[in-house]
Amino acid sequence: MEVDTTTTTTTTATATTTTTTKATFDQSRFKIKDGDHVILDINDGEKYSVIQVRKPYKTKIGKQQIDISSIIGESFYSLFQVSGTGLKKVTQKELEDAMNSLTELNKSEDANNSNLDQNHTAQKLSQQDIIDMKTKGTDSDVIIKTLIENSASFQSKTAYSQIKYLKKKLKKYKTIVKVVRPTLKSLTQANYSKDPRKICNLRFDTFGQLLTLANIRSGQSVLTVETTMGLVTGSIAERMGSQGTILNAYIGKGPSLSIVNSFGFPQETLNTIYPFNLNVLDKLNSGQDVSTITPVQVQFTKLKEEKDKNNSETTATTTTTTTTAVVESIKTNNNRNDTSTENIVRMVKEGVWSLVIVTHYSPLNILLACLPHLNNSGNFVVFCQYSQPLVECHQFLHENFLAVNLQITEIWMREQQVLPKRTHPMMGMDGASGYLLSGIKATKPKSNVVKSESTAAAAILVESEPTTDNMDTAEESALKKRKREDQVESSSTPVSSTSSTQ
Amino acid sequence: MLSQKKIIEDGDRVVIYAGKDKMQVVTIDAKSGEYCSKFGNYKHKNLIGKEIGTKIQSDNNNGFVHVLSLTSELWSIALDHRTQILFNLDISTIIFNLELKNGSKVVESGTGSGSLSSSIARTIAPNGHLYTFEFHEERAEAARKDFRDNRIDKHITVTHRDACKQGFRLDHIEGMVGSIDAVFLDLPSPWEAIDHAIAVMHEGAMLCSFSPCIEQVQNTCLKLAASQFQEITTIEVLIRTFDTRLQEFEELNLSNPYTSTTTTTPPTTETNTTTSTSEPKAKKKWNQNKRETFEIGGIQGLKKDSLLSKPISEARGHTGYLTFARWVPEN
Repeated sequence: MEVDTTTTTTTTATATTTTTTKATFDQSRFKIKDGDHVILDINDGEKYSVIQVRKPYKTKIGKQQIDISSIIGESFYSLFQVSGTGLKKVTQKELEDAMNSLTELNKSEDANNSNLDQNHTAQKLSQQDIIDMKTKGTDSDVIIKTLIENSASFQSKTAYSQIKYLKKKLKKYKTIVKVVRPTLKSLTQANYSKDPRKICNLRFDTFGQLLTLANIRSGQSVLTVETTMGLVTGSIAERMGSQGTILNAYIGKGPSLSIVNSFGFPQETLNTIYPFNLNVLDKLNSGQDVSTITPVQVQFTKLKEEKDKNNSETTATTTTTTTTAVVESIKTNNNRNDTSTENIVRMVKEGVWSLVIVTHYSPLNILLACLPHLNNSGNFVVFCQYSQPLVECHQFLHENFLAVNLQITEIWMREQQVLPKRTHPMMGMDGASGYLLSGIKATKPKSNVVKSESTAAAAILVESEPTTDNMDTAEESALKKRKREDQVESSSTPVSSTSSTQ
Repeated sequence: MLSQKKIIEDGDRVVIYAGKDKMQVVTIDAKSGEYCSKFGNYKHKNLIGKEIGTKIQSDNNNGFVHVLSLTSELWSIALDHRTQILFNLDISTIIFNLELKNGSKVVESGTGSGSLSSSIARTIAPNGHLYTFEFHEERAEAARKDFRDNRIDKHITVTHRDACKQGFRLDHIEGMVGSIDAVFLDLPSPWEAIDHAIAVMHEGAMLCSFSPCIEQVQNTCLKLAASQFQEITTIEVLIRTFDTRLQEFEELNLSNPYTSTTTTTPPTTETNTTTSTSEPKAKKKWNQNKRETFEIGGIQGLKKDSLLSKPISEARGHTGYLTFARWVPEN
């Protein structure tokens, strides 16, 4: 954004005075340290790379291996320019000055694009000329200057479009890296722009709403079922900050939580995460023996190796054999959670207060498998890219009186360009937020569950008689009767209705 | 608000839920508490010992309600609206983009009805703290009372002050200045408070300004860009809620002229084919029982229950623009 230079100088003065007054405050936690996990934001969102700063401090930026050791000791969110095979610190102001020094902007008010040709002949330099300059290692500023000098149309452009042109060229010939601290926001952004499918197309605004609706807070017990490579589980862990319990029911051969590593959590935060096979819940619900399921011990920093190991094995192995392999590979870790099946079962039976489901699987069966373990008055949220599966979930919960405050929502989000006299919504926007189903579990008191089947069924009939809060239209009275029959058929407890209906 | 337990006890703060817009926050009072509505009368002492979240029959057996534990979301729906309040989606987006978590230190101005304050407190407790500023004395006092009642007061410091003039510094609180991770501004002229915000923030801290008008956004963004803020973005978010129901839906039996090319079915049985192919398998589950035929203007039809969903007609068109920025001082 362009800024009036006079205001810049005045506020810089105030900023310096404020920094001196709070010099006593420890600033070291805002500096990049050896071993930190960081996100390299390359050219303002063009590409993100999540890395750990460690020896030999080399990483790939663009097509080159770059030595990043110069970022250690600098502040997070600082800017660096790729120069040679290293990184050089730059400031926003230096970048702006460099751009302004490239050329004199057009001051005339009547510049317009009436004489602009569409035939791409404005640039006199050939592709080969530019490549030659680049291979000779010419400075990016010189290249851009040459481009401008050889552009027939540049001088007739308005100042606005000149800036646009310069910014475009700068992006192409200069590589600016911003070192970002990994947080749930920055990791969501990095992963969403890299490959949204890997995180189930979970957009930031929907994710924020999901965490709010799930009532995520410190000290909470949460059950997550996700196929977002650990983004959801890690984000909940970040919010709770080492206090609380996250039961992560994974689907497949082993936990897939690689993004959890990117957060760079301390051990006590990692210890709040208890991965286990979703099969445990299923076996519990159907009253089967859970001891046949081999538990998984996880040390997060080794997740990548485990994954490789699993991949190298035959794909047709049973859960038991692969998980045993995982256990063996990381037996050395002493500082771990008790993820033995007995402990998981114990924690699951205590009940959780929040349930979060973000998977690319059909949500209904997963929701029903987890719901018995959510305490009454606990919040649940299910994310799905499509609305129809959530409509089915909504109907099932509604019909069987399993929840209140049920809601299916979608978010519309639009970014604004804010510039003097040129403020308007962005031309492009992301139109698909996905859908959220949220609600609060509310069932009949537990005492009914222990009653014999027939009395419990009778109790439902009696309880359905008074006017209900959310089903009151006259046209639905006929439906009510049928629903009641359904409910009696599928027996009284949510646990068994789960298995019988599906 | 920050603890949940399975059994209702005397003194608990709960929500009596009778419907989406029929909620009331009450403190359980064993001695004289009573909740009366068209859903029946409930003496608080009869609620004690019941499992939270379960359906509870009224004392006179003519209705039922659910008693739920109080969350920030239910609070923001049920609270007493002293001002225009921020809604859940804006609150979620603010908390997400300000990167709040357990341990964050936050400044908020103004407090208003305390809807956002409660959600922030929920997110940053127990290790963080919220410093909230309100220039209207009565509202500040009312907010203090609400926070006390909801037992989140130890995580919130309410200050009655005009922040645009006097700033956010609380010099009597050690370590407050320069430790702030995030500042939220909901003020008529937010740009006047930005220098004050910088005075308490640390480097890399986030700021968010909520303004309903684009002119306010324009001024704020200029001021932010001139004050060493980066990543300046302005967004608006709106929510669409869906009305989902199993509803009677009529289907006309018309011959399908496009099936003849793919199937060899003779025209006489075509009506049958149409009905079966036009129903996706997933839908069949719901219309198992009710199927009625009807006739209209010589055309046969089938009445059946379908699971349908559409956005509700009443929706909010605008709440406000959210501007986010990060303070990255370069000297």
